[in-house]
Amino acid sequence: MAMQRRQAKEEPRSGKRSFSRKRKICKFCADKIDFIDYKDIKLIGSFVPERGKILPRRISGTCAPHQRELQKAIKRARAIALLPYVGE
Amino acid sequence: MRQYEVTFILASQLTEEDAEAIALSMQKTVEKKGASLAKVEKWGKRRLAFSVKKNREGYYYLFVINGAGDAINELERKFKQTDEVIRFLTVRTDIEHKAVEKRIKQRQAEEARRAAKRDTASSSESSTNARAAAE
Repeated sequence: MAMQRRQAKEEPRSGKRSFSRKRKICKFCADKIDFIDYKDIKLIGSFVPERGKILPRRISGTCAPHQRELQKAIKRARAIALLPYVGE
Repeated sequence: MRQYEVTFILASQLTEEDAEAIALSMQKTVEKKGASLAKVEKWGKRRLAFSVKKNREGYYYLFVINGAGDAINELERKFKQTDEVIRFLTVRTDIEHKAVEKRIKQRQAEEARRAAKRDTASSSESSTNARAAAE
């Protein structure tokens, strides 16, 4: 029984290993968003975690040109108190 | 002619009517300077992401202005004089819209090129198949 339990535990892990890092796709390229508006907090907010920091490219998978635009939009949104400079 | 987007926030202790009156006077300032308002958006009372001058909420207004820079200068001067305006942000949008159009055109060109490439690839493949069948 102990054996079984261990097997069950290992299975998802080995699965994760064999899948090995799926390539992330830039959300803005996929959805063909050409202009990132600072007023669209629903969209931008998904790139700002709890702490209020801008989600890095390494994690979100956003392409470089879009990350630059996103950065600009987030900073503008902060300036008019739509997004926080520092979160909780 | 330039296009600007001006967003500003009015203090939360104002009544709806007072806020509206201030916004209206701001509109007049812009028009007096010979600029035209392409759009006036009222977002109403919104919660702020952080407190600004002891306000946790504020009335948001958005102006889209077509005109020269001096109208904006005058408007910003007035914002600074008015205590009820707790935050404002001016963004010049005509340049950005141009950049966006360019990007859309680029993307379309890229897609057309890719589609053309795919077509030629598939047609050449079918022709070799036909040749193989003939032999």
